[in-house]
Amino acid sequence: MAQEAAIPIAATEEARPARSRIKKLLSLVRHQPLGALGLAIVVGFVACAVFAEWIAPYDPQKINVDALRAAPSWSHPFGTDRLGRDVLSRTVFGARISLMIGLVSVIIGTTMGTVFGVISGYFGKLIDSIIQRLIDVMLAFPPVVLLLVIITVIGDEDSAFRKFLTEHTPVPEGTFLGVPVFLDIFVIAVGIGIAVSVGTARVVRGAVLSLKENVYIEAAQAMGASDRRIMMKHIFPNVAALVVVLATIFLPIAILAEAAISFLGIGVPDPTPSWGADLSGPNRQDAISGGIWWVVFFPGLALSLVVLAFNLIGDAFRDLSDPRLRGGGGPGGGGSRGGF
Amino acid sequence: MEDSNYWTRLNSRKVSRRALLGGGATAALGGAAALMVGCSGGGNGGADCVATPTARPFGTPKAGGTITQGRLIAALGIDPHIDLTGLDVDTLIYPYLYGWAPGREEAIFNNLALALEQPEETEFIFSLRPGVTNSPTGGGKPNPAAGEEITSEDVKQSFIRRGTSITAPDRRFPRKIAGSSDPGALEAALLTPDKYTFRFKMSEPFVPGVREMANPTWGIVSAKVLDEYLYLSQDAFGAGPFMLEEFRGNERIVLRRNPNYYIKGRPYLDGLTYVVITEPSSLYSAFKQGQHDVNGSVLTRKDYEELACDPDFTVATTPSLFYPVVHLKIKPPFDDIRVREALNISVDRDEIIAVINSGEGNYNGPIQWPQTFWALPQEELRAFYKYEPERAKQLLAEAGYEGGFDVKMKLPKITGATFIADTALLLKDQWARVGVNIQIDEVELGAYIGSTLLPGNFEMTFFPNLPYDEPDRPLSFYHSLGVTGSGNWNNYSNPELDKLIDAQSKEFDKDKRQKIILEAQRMILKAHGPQLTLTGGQQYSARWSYVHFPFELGQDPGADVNPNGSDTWTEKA
Amino acid sequence: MREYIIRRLLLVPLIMFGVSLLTFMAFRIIPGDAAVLICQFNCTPEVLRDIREDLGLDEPWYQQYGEWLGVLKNDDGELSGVLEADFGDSFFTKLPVSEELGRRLPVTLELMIMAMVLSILLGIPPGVLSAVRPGSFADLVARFTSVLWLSIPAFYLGILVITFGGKWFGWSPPNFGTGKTTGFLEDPWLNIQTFFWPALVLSVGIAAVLMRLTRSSMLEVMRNDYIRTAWSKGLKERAVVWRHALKNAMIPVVTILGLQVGALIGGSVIIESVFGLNGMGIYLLESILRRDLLVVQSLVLIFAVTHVLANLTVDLTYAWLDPRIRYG
Repeated sequence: MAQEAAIPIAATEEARPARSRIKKLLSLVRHQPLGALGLAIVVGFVACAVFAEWIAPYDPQKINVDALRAAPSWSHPFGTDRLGRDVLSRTVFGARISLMIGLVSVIIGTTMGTVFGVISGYFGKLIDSIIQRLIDVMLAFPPVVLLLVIITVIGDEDSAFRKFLTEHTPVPEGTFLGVPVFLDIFVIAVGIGIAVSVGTARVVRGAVLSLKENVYIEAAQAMGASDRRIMMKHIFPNVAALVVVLATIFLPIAILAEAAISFLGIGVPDPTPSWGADLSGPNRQDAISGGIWWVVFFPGLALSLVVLAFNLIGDAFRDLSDPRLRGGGGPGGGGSRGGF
Repeated sequence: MEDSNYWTRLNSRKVSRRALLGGGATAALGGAAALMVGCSGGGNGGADCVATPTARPFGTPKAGGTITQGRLIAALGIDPHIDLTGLDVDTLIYPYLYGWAPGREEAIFNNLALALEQPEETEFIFSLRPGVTNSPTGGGKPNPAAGEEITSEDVKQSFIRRGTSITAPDRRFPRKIAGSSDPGALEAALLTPDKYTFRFKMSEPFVPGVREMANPTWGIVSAKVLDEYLYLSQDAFGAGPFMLEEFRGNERIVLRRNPNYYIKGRPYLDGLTYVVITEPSSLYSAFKQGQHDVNGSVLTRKDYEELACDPDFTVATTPSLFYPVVHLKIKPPFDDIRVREALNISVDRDEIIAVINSGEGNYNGPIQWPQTFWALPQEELRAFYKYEPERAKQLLAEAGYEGGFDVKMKLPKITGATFIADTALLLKDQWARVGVNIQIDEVELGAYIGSTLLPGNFEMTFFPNLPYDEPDRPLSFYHSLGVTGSGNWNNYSNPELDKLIDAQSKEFDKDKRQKIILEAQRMILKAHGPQLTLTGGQQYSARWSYVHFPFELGQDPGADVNPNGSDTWTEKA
Repeated sequence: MREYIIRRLLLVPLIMFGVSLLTFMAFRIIPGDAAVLICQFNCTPEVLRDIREDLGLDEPWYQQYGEWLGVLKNDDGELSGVLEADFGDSFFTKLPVSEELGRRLPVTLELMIMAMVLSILLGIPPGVLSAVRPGSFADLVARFTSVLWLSIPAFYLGILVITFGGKWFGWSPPNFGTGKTTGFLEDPWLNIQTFFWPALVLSVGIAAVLMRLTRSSMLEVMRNDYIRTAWSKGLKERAVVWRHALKNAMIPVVTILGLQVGALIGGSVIIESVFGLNGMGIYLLESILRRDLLVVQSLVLIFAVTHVLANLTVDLTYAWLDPRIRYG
């Protein structure tokens, strides 16, 4: 994710005087209809994710022997797959997996990245060098390749990481927060999180370096405040806004990353509905050689819509910060998807 | 040939033995399992005509022309004694002692051996056909044995090599010949009184060996070739109907007619090319576009029906020998026979046939149903495995599991083999109805075999067994010593059953052996496990109608058939 | 400046060392190895040990790593490794990895180059157009298209193209399902057709990035004084746009283009598997699943080198093009 790393530094400069949230929202709808649309789509998908049990007409894993590969109809608006499972229900539940992995990975990634970035930037010298060279190495992998490697290594059934999770942490193996096989999902999220953290760390470190020049940090040091205190009280609050911006940039990328690795067959295992996994394997074969298009069309559409929504929101934010560049762009605002 | 043991010669050359390891059997399993993908065909076949296997007259063969065949699995190597992913290619390149008629369970003497004489049951005397001549070249290189006949010495060297190869799928037979696993003992046991006579006497009777010698791993390679080439994974020099022209196992394999082939005028074809495409939908699309003459992809029932109605294509169908089973570890809760029975009768096998086997399938007993001679009668199985969820609940309650229990089921994750996960999902669905909640845990194939299956590290696991075509191997899974002799994976032990399994492997009389095998299966049925057997379906094949095969997939080839590939011909000559 | 370049160049081997070591260690700490896959069901501990020994997996990791690099002697007493472009042999096919690479590299390279060309063609002209007439209908269409393209994952687009191409037109991409990629010299036209569709699918996302960046960069540049001066001097629009503005606006675009090499590599892994092209990406994926470690290590290293060098080139070019940038 080398290219993303370069993007958001400018974003900190965009920090505008706080306005009331409601006012902001109203002005968003008025001046940024597309952004508002994006927001509405995201809200819709979040609703799907949270209330999937109520929204989906069927159990997404329920096999129906009487309706195998049924074309879209009133009883199955998106059709059914080779096991008679309802594609609409799978798409709705897919939102839960997708957003869950997106969120968890971004939270893990930005947290880890911030910690390393702050430490690296604040201490400088040897610690900085070590962390930065490590980041150089991680950034040398093309993003997809990095993910393939990480997920293979930590996702392995008997990997030390999984053992550690099951034995020493409360991460549940079974259903949790409505997500079946939570452990698998969590491991994938951690994998994506590691990739995210690399980009985050580099950007945060840059910000910390410039913060360190500030007089009040020196003052705090002179007054004998501990490093830990300075980092927590003075540095972190000042990079927090940047981290939030980074998180919003990484969220759609993380969602795409999950879909991509699931598509390649090393992500979310089949019974669990995942948009990426539903585009691959038997569904893809059904679609391409059997003309059963609906099994791939709808999950992919949902995935594209979510990413589109995040892009629209991102554009709207950039427009608000620099109206002269209305319509996409902005500083480094090419938007990126890390090769997915 | 002083220093004749293959491996000794090899070691004396101080060459890294790395070269000798075959491309994984697991890859073979993965590929073979992938062949099942298509078996979950849709129930909504919309074809207008009735799909029946197309019966095409064999016609008057024309010599010449080439055919292209699709291939779903990369062939990692084509050494018959070492590699397991290229065995179908090996049968075209090398001669074998004899062929096999699956339905009749009889040897067909249409190959290297003219006749077999058995003064005693355990003594085998083969008289070899003179004039089975090695091809001039192989893979563009000169054949070290070009133009020379295959003799008894070649058979002997091939047996030694096959019998001691590290990666050979099963080495029990050579050990039974030699009386030990020592290569020297095997060498001493194989006799070559003259050029055209090859004989040995088993030190211990082992009936499955008779079937085994007709298997693709028992290809006969010239001793001179073995002398010159340490391994034949990427090279091939044989005396079969075809010879290798180019081998790129993950892209294409090109074969040419062997001009020295001993049957005059055969093979009809000038050449045969395999094109490897590991993505099933792409492979099928290439076949339909006419880029392949013979389909290599897995057909769904729906594809099959469509093709059956199109005169441009010829289709065939045959029962699939795959028999996915659920292994239960004999420990609580599965050490209680009532629990095993409850699981067995709460599987709705008809539903599995409907969803996974495209509606065409039968119940499997311990030996899969297409092995008609050895398997239990279908009526008996259907009566035994009646779907009785209510009684299952009752049994669970009696066993102290009122309302069911939770259990983890491990599965191997094989790319392309959807039916594994699909069947598991269906089982999960069915068992949930009696309160048994399965948590499915997919494990990457390599790790699955190494750390789940072999060490028996599971409570319950769903596993697609290879398509064994002999009753001994499937039964050995129930033997307390297992297939490797080091114990079975389930911790199941039944001395009575062990006796029967041992007895059948020593009984040369077909009918007597059948009786023992049926008795053993009934004993297994009554014990409800440790493997729960499910169902088996059909596999479908197709080709363009201008390609003619001497017999269709699944048919009895008849007595006058020639070795693999030599009778195939094409109108596009 | 010179010091900066030297420092960056010196880092490259260090990074490569880190990448190779990391990949190496990563795949040796996971439990399932190629030996288990090879030995399968007859796997007694003895057989497994034999196979590990044959594959060299029984040796300590630093020995294996050293042999792979070519700084330690292997079983045959030879020094030969990656440093001399000897990537070793695949565990499964026994063929030298370099032979396989020789066949696959051209496929991936052609896919990437063609995707790059297509994304420039699809991205930059519309970007310029929409910047010249901000707010116009053309601008609106371009903006909408770009955000749409940005949002469709390449693998989804690829599957849609193949599925609906077949369903509606009975069409499938040339050479699809043959595993062949006709060489350019063999049949140039068929070769281009073969790569066109996968490259197009792969290029769409990058084209969107380029389009958006070109637009914003152009807008920025057009506000500059010298452009205003050019306008006021009465120069024709064409001259202003093409001669003055575009040249300057392209600096960040070129940068992003270079940075997209990483995305292209990742994208090709996915697109090759969608279109069944036998390139390096599919090879990597297959080898990872098979735990064919020497192949995985070599491929990852090659991808990383390409990626790092592309980024380095971009940075240096950027520093050269835009001397205002300082490096700390």
